[in-house]
Amino acid sequence: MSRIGVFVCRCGTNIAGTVDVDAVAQAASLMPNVVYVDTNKYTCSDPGQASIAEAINENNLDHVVIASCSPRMHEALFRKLLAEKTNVNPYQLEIANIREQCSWVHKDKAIGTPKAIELVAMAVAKVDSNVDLHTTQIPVTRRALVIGAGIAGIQAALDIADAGFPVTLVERETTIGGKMPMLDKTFPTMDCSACICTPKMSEAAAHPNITIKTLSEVEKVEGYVGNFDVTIREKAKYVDYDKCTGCGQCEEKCPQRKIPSEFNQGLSFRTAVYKPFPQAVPSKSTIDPAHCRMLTKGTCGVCSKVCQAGAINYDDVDRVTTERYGAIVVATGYELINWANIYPEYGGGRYPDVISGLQFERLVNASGPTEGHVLRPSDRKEPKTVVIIKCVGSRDPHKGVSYCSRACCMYAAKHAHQYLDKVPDGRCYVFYMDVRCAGKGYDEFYMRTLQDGAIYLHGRVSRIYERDGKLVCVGEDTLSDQVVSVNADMVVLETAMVPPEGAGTLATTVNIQRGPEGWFTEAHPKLRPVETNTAGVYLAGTAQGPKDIPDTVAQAGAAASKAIGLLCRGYIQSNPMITHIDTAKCSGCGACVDICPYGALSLVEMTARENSRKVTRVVAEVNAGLCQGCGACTVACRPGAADLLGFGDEGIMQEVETYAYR
Amino acid sequence: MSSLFLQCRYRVWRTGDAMRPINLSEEPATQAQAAKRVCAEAGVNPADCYQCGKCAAGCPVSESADISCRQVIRLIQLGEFDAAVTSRMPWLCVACGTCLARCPQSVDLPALNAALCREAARRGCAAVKEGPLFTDIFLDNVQKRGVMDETMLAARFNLSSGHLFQDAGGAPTMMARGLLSGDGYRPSDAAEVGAMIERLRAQARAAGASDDETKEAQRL
Amino acid sequence: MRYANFPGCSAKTTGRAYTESFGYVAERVGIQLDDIPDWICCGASAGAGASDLLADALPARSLAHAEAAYGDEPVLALCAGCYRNLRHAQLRVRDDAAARAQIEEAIGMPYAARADVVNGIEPFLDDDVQKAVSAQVTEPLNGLKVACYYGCALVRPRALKPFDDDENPQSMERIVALTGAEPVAWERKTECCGASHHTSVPGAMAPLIERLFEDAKAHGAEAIATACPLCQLNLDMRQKDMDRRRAAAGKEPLGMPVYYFTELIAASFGGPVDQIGLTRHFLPAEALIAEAKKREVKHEPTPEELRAQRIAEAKRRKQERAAAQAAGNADGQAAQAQPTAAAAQTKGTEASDHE
Repeated sequence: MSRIGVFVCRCGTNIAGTVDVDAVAQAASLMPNVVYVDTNKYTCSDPGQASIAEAINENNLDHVVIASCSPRMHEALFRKLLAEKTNVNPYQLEIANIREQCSWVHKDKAIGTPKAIELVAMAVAKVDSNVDLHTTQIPVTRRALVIGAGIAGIQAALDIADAGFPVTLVERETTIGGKMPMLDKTFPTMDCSACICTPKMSEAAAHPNITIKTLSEVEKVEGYVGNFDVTIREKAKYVDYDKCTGCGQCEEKCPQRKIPSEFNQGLSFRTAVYKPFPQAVPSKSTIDPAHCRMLTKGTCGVCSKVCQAGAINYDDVDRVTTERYGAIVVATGYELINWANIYPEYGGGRYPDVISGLQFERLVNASGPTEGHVLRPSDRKEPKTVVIIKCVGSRDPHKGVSYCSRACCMYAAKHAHQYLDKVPDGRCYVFYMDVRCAGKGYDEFYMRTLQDGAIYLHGRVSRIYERDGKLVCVGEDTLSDQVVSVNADMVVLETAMVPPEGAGTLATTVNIQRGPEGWFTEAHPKLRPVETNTAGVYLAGTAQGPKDIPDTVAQAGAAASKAIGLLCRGYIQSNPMITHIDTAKCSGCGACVDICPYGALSLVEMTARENSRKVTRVVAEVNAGLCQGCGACTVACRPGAADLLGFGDEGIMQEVETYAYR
Repeated sequence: MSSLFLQCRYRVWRTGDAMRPINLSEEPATQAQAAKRVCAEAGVNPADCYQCGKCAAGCPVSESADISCRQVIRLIQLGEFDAAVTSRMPWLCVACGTCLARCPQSVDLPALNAALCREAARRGCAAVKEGPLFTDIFLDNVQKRGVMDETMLAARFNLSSGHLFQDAGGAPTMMARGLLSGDGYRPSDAAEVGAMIERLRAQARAAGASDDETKEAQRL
Repeated sequence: MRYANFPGCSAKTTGRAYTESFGYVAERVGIQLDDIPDWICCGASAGAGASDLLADALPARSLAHAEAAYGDEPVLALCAGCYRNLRHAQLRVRDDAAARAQIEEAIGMPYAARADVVNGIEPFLDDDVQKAVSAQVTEPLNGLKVACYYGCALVRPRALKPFDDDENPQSMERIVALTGAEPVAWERKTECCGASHHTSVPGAMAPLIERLFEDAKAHGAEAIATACPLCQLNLDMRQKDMDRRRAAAGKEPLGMPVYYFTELIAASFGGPVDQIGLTRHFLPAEALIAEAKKREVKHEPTPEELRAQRIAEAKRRKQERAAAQAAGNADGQAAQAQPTAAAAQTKGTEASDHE
C-alpha cells in the first residue's frame, strides 16, 4: 500500500478565486491511498516548501501530488525539494495543473472546482504507478565551437577563450569581422567602426585558445549537448597560409582586376587573388576560384611567379575535419534584403545613384573607394541633395518583410548627420515611417541630426524616376497632407536585415528552429533569450533577429556565459525520463529507429536465454545521451516494447480510467 | 497652395471652421457599423493601414482630389465614415491600381473606393453627381442592347448631366474617320442579357439599404 | 496560334484602327482569331459601379460563350479595359469555388475558366511570331523615337498576375523595336490615362494626359504607342484641347501622334494606310511614319562590336611594339626590360576587356 500526500495550492487568489480549494482537499482525502492532504497559500514559497517536507517526513509519505501551477513552472523546484529534504525519490511526484489549465481559463467556481478535483484524481492515480528514477552524469567535452565570425562571434569566442576553454571560430568568408569593419562610424558616439572592430579581430587571431577557420562551413553536427561531433569543410584557398606572408605582391600583379569588391559593396574592384581589406584577419591572400584565370582557363600563373614565399598552390583542395565540442554558439548574422528585385518603383537597380545604406557607409569611409569624400557612384560628383528612405523592405509584408529591422532609424540619422557634416551646403531629406530611437543617447542623436538641418518627412516614397539628371523622389508628407517631390542627386535606401543565405541549411544541420521570418528561435523570448531548444546550442547577435552593435555584443557575452557555464561544470545531468525498451517484447522491426528525430535508437544483436534455449535476436537500443524523451517511438512500437520512463503506459491508462469512470 | 492651407483642408470642408476641433467621441455609432459593412464589402481592413502615404504619392488624381486616398482610409480609422462617403476622392479614383501595387500592407484602395461610390449612390449623396449618372446610363445602355453604344452613351450622358457640348467638338472628326457608325452588332440573346443585368442591379440596390444604420445616415 | 477573339464595344467604332491594324498583322504572322458568338459588353468601369457580382457576371458570360465554342483556346481581348475585366472574372472563377457557383448562377451558364485571358501584346511575345514579324519588315521605321505606353489596365492590379513588370514593363518595347523604331526609356508608361473618367470628371483628368505627353517629350519621343483603344482615344482626341490650353498659358504645344503598336508593325510591313488604321486618327498620323521610313539609318555600334574594335586596336598596338622591339634589338639587349613590362601590362588590360 502506497502512502500518497496531496498538497493543494491556493496561489493567493490565482487558484482560490475560481477553485474552491478546501472542497478539492476534501475530495482528495477520499481518493484511494491518499493518507495526507493539506492546502497552502503559496506552496512554492519557502514556508510552503518546508511544510511539505515536514508533512512527508512525519507521515512517511512515499508518493506526492502537488496541485498548483504548470509543471513547467515549478516541477523542477519541487523535485529538488524531494531530493534534498526527504527520502522520497524525486520522480514520485505528480503536478496537477489547476492554475494555467483550470483556474485561469474558467471564471466560475461551479466549473473550476469539479475540474480541479478531476485533475487531482488523475494525478493521484498516475503517481501510484510511478517508479523510482535516477539521473546519471555525462561528461562534457570542454571546447566550444562558434559559427560565424562577425562581431558577435568574435566577442563570444573571446569571452569563452578568456575563461580558459579552447574555441574554434568558423567563418565562411575569407576574413573574420563580418559587416562591422565595413561600417564607417558607429552611432550614437560616432567612434570609428573599424578602429574598434579590427583590434578585436587581431585579438581573436592572437588568442592562444582560439583557432580561426576561414572559408569554412559546418557540414554535419552529430551527438548531443556536451559532446557534439562537428564536421567542418575548410574550402581550398589555393594559398598556403603557413607560407604566405601577406605581402600583397600577388594582388598587385593579378591580371583579373575588374571583379566587384564585396567589401566595398561593388563600388570598387578587386583582383582574383585578394585580401578583402588591409586589416583582414587572417592577413593572407586567397584565390577566388570563380574568377582566377589559372583555375578557370588554365593559363596565367602570374601570382605563383611573383610569390617569393612560394605559397600559391593551384592544386589546393577542400579539407574536411571532424572534431568534438561541448557547446556551440551560432552567430551567423544577417544580410541586407535584395531590394532591386522587389522595388521596381525605386528603379529596380537601374539607377547607379540609388544605393543601399551599406554602400553609403563605404562612400563615407576614409578607406573606402572615394577616400571618405561623398561622391555619387555614377559620375563621382558630390551630391548636393540626398534623399534617405527608411523601411525599404522592412515593415512591408507585401514586398519585403513584416518586421522592423531595428537599427535603421539610428543609422539613417547617422547617414544624414555624416552627409551634412561632409557636405555643409548639401540638403538632406529623410522619408520615414516612425523614428524608433529607444536606446542610451539615441534620441539625443536623432534630435542633433534635426539640428544639423536634416528634413524629416513622414511618408514612404512612392516612386523614384530620372529626369534631367536628377532622381525625382515622389512621396507624401502626411503631416502636411501634401505630396512632395525632391530632385535628388543621390538616394540612400536603408534596407531590411534578412537572415543570410544558408541559414535554413544550418538550422537543419545544427537542429535548431527558425521563426516564420527565418531568424533562429530562442528557447524563450524573455527568460531564455540566448538558448535554443537544442541543449548546448546558443545564439548570439543578429542570427536571432535584427539588432544593433551594442545589443549584439551584449548578447554575444550572454551566449558565451551560458556556454562557459556548461563547460565549467564539466558534466551534464542526464534526463531519466527517456525511452526504455523491453527487450523481451521487442521484435527488432526498427520502426522506432526510423521515427526517432534525435537518432537515439539503433538496432543491436542481443543474446539471451529464452525457453531454456540461448537465442540471438536483433533488438532496439536507446542512447541515453541522445534520447530527449519525446515519446515518438512509444507510439510507433507495435509490440509495445518501447515505454517512456515517468510517462509509462500504465500510468497514463490509470489517469484515463480515473477520468472516464469517476 | 501653401501647406498650411492643405493641412486645414479637411477641417474646413468638414466643419466650415478651420480652428474648431472634431470631437471623436460624439460621432454616432452608426458610422462605425456602416464603415464595417462597406469595408467588408471591399475586403479591406482599415487597421492594416499605417498611413505611410505611398498610395497618395503615386495616385494620378491626387492633385484634383479634395482629400487623398490615404485620408479616405484615415477618416474611416477615426470613425468619420460619413465624411469618407461624401468626399470626391472615391469618384475620382480611376482604379489604376498603382496604390495597391505599392502598398506595403496590401490595402485594396480601388476596391474600397468602388464600395464607397456604391454606398454614396445608395444614399444619394454622391459628391460627383455625374458619377452615378454615368454608371446608370451605361448600364441602361448595355441592358437594352447587350453591348454599349458609345455615341448613344455620350449623347444621353450630356443630355442628363447638362454638359451639352462636352466632347462634342470631336464628333465631326469621328464621323469623318469612320469612328461613329459601328456595325450594329447585337448578341442574339440580348433579352436574356438584359434580364440578367436588371436582376443583378436590383439585388445591388437592395443590399445594405435595409439596416437602421443607413436610415440614420440618411436622416443626418 | 489560335485565339478566341473578344472584340469589345469599341472594336468597330473608336477602336477601329486597332482592330484593323491588328487584323492586318495577325493574318501575316500566324495569329488566328475566332470570334466569340454572342459576346456582350464587359461592363467597363460601370459594372463595378453597381456591384462586384455584376462586374464579374458581364465578362463571365462572354467567357462562358467562348468556352462553349472554343474550349481551352485563350481568349484575346484587344481592349485593355475589357482584358482587365475578363481576366478578373476568369481568375475569380478559377481560384474561388464559391465565387464560381455564384457567377455561374448569375449568368445561367456553366463556366470553368480553363482558358486564359490574354491582351493584345501577349500573342507577340511568342518567339515564332516575333521571327515572323522581323521577316516581314520591308519598310523599317528607321529610328522613329517611340514612347511605349501601357497604361494601368495591362499590368495591374497584381491580383491579375500581370504578364510584365508593373513599373517598368519592356514587352511592347521589344515588339516595337522589331519595326526599326527606337523605343525610348520614359517614366510614366504605366500611369493611368483617366479612362472613362474623362466623361464623368473631365477637369480632374486633364492633368493626367498632359503629364504623359510632357514626360514622353522630355525623353525625346516623337510618338506614343499604345495597346488600348481607350488610352489611344483619350490621348489622341484630347491633345488638341490640351495644346489649346497650353497655348493660352504661353506653353509650347506637346501634340504627337498616338499609334497602336500594331499600326507601327503594319506600317513597317508596308501596309496601305487606309487598311491599317492610319487614316482614322485625330492628329494626322501618316506623315511622321512616311518621314521615318525615308530617314537614313545610323548604325550605332553594339557593345560587342565596340569590344571587338578595342581588341583589334590592342592587337595592332602590340604588333607595332613587337616591330619596334625587333628594330630595337639591333641597338642592344639593355633596352629590352622596359618594353616587356609594358607589354605585360597591356596584356592585362586586354584580358580584362574580355570579361
